[in-house]
Amino acid sequence: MSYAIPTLKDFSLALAITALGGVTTAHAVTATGPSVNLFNAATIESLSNTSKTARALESSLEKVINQLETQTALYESAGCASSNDAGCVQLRKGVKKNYADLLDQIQAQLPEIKRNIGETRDALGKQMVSELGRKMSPGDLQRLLAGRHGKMTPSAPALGSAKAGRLSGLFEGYYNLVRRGGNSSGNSTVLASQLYIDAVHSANYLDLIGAEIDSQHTELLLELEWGELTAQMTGTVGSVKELLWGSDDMRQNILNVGLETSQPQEAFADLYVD
Amino acid sequence: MKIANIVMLTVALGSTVACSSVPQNRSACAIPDAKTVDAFLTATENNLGNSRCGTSFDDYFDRLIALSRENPDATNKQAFADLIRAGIVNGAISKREGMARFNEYFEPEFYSLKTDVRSNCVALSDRQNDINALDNELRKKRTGLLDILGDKAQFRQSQQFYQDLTVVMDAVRHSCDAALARR
Repeated sequence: MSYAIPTLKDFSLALAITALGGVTTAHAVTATGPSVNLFNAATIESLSNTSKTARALESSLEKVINQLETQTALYESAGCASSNDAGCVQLRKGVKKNYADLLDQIQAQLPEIKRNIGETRDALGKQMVSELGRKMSPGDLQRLLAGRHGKMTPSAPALGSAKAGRLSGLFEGYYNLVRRGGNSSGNSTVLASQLYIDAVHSANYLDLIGAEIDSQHTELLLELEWGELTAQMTGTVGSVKELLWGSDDMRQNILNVGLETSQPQEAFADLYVD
Repeated sequence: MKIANIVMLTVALGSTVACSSVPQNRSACAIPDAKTVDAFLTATENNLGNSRCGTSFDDYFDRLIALSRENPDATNKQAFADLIRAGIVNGAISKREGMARFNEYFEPEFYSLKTDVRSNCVALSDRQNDINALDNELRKKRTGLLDILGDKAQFRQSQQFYQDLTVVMDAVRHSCDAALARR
């Protein structure tokens, strides 16, 4: 019997969004420009809730993951994979119980994360339609990204090593970084857009993940033979650990947007279009 | 009989003049065989002083691209500006067309977006069309900024614009569609 381990790995996508939610919240507090207000109170509140949900998940999974790792290490070092020794059987039961707990906790918190992401998507989408969709043209959008509101816009801050340590620490790292560096509506717009797109995809995807975890959980409870379960569990735990304590986040690139202002082109003023 | 001879003579003369004038025009408007950008520009500007050479403008432009590619340099931008101005004066291209060409090749921002004054919810409804326009322009910017000017920083800036624009445009388009669906 096969357990759909990748679904748990994919689950990290949803949580990465919650991380980004934390970033964007911070950015909104400090960097909302005068002409583009993508982060109103409803958006900020939903992002804040999403961040809190991620923190809660981190706390609740930490203990069970530690237990699972300890048990798995013992199971492997004792050579229990091919043994029906009473101790090994007992150990398997313990691993099974903890793994079921892990799935329980994810299952319990999935609806809330899903709801938060949906609220974030809807609140942000509403603002995007209002601020960017109806009030602006494609040319305005480009000027916004270029930071040309009649004044020079500093480049976005370098992210550096902000993403280090725990998931909850990630929020603070981004928050501080944004407070130090950015006041560009362009950067804020790109972040908001990325968040919105991810939220849309993830809200749809979380439905599938929820269904697969339900199925996996049921199978686990019914499964009497261990088979490859331990290896699969190790993979799952590894994925969740990576999620909680660090992995490469491609969204860093979005924060590193370098919106340099073009140099004055006096010599070609007759040919340039603003 | 005499009248018929005169008519035939006139026709024959006319044909001779016509045949001899074609090579002359072609020669006057031919793509200059210059080996340097400066020499090519001087010769081309001279050609474009002739109103009949306007139809060769695109050939001049393409040849200047090829020459500039052989020696990428920031000063090439001036040569293109001068050629485009000469083309505008000649009437080969309109002022608007000239500005479009210059911006598409030598400005990091995207000209195709600058000219669209519709609201985004309307303007961005055709994603494939938007992406095609940005793709085409990015290729021109690669030629202009990178191959001709050798300006990596400005081309990277274009790439960054492209990347950001596609993300933001996708998000705006989706949010507009979602709002429309909720109505």
